[in-house]
Order: sequence, then C-alpha cells, then structure tokens
Amino acid sequence: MASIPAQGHGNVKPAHVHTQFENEEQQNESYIVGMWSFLVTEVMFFGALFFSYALYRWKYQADFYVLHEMLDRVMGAVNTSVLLFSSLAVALAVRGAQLKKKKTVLAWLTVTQLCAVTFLVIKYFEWTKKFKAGIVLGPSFVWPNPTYLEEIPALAKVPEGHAQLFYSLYFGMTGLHAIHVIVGIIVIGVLMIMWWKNNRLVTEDYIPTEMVGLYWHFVDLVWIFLFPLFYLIPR
Amino acid sequence: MSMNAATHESHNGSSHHVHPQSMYFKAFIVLFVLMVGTVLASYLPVGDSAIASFAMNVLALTIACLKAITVILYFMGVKFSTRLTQMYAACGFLWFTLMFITFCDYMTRSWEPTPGWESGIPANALPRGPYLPNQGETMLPNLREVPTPPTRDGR
Repeated sequence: MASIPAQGHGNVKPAHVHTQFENEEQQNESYIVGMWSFLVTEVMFFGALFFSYALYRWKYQADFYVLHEMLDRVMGAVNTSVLLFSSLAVALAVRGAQLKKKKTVLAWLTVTQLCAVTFLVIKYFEWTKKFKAGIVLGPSFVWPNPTYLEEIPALAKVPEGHAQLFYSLYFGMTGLHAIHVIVGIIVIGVLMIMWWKNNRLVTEDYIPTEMVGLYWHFVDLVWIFLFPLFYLIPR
Repeated sequence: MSMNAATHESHNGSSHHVHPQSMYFKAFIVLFVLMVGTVLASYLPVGDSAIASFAMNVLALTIACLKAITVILYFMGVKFSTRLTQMYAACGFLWFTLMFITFCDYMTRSWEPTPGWESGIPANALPRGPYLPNQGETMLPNLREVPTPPTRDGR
C-alpha cells in the first residue's frame, strides 16, 4: 500500500494517517476519544431520562410496581438476547476490519442488521399490543384499562395520572432507544455499502468500522439498563 | 469462520493487537448467562416484603452493571485502550452517578411545605395564598403604599 515517509523520522506512516498525526496509533486514539466524547453526550441524553424514571418510581413506588406487570418480560428478554448477539456480531465485524477481511466484515454486519431489524419487529409487536388496548400517548389514553384489568386486578387502584406518567416514560425511553437503533441500522448500512464497494476509507483503516461498532455497543448498553428497570425489577 | 489465534503486529503493518475470536464469544456467553440470571431471579416470589423487594432491586441493578462493564471493557475495547480513552469512558458514567446527587432535592421536599409536589398538581394550577408584602422583617422601610393585587378567590 502507498506510504508517505514522515519527515525527519525515517519511519513510514501508512497513507491513511493524516499529516497532523505522528503515527497511526495517535490517529486511532484521537478518533476513538472523539467517538467516546459523542457517547458521553449520549449518556447524558439517556441519563436524564433514567433519572426521571428513577424519581417517579421512587415517588409512586407501589403504583409503578403494579404498572410494570403490564409489560411482557419474555418479549423483553428475547429483545435483550437479540441485541447482545448483535453486539457480538459487530465486535467480530470490527475484528474482521482489523484483519482487512472484507467477507468477514460484511457477513457479521449483515448479522448485526438482521438482529437490529428483529429487535424493531419485536418492539413493534409490543407497542401495538399496548396501542390496541388503549395505552397510547395522548388524550385517548384509556384508564382504567379493561384489557389489562382482567390480567392484573391491582391496576384498579392506580390513578390515571400515575399510569400516564409511567407510560410517557416507557414510550419515551424505549422510543428514543428505537430511534437510536434505526439510526444505527442506517449507519451500519452505509458502512456495509462502503465495504462492499471497497471504499479506501474503510478498507485501509479499521477505525471507522470500530467507531460505528462503539455506537452500536452503546445502543446495546442503554437497552441493558432499560430492560431490568422496566421489565424485571419490581418483582 | 476460521478461528484465528491472536495475531501480533499483523501483516497490515499497524501496531494494534487483534484479539482472538474466543474472547468475544466468551464475553457474549457471560452476558447471556447474566441476562438469564436476572430474568430467572425476577420470577422469584417477592410478595410484600420490603427487604426482599430492595434486595431484588439491588441484585438486578448489580447484574445490569456487570453486563455493562463487560460490554464496555471487552466489546468496546476499553480494557485495551489508552488511559485517555478509559478516562473519557469512566467520566461519562461518573457523571451519571453524580447526577443522582440531585435526588437530594426531591427527597428533602417533604421537609418544607410544597403543595405542588405533594398533591401532584402543578403548583401554578393550585390556588394562591394571600399576598402579604411585608412578611416578617424587611431591611428597607416601605416608602410607599403597595396596593395588594386582587387574589383569585377574593381572599
């Protein structure tokens, strides 16, 4: 591969290392730190919502415990497994990029995309189940809810305001997470197209693939916390 | 998929270390086992016991944190990153912890009358109290007559 000798050092920088960097390691580190800065802002983004959730869960504990039972644990567990596997897939794709193996990268990124789409499909079923029962965002929120009152009689004691609060948090947080998944699908799609077309930006340097991988792992991280908080804890 | 051993200083000439596939698979197994653990634990009967409920909360959150740490260290490669990267990652989550200090505001609200918080109705929708311009000691004398504005319910 074409290389530009670094002035006055005698050692050779690979072509994809820009002029302001001493060597590839330094460039890689700056790119990774830059990506982590973005991820820290995402932590703040989701962190505030987690705090909101923690606050109202603390304040209306008994009601939230009952409301949690309306969520389907099994679907949540399947979603979690799917996302964990997609994290593994993207990590192996990054490893493939490090070894410059195009087929490996494309194969594992395809797996990641399939997992992401599966996640969204399962989330679609979860949400439509709620919508059909009348649990929606907005004025048509049905409370007391006849569909769920049969399964969980304790819901009769939960005031509408608390139920609305719980669901605005639930739809808000899982919805925001789903938007991040959609963005991830688009970005991984673009990455796959670049690899497929042998674009030098991604084939010579594994760091772009790694940065997309970091974003995807973050999306998985948020779900790792969302899952126990909404689906598992109160029991 | 061929199971490659770790390749040091691999043929592309750059100095990064490529990890063996087995490391990623092992991390995945750990994550999956932890997840199954939390799900099974959630089926344990808690009943009305406050201690059991608290213990369940702590357990589930601890396992979630362990999963997060596994993802961050191994999948995201922070374990093998430079100190600068590790610091960025650590600070992000440190901030998250510090943010919860603001919980003190909410937990101390019961120490003072807070009609908006206790009733759940927003404070601006509650009826206002009487308007008293000179409550207690004032530093400056009231130089001119301050007309009391009409209150909402004529009090």
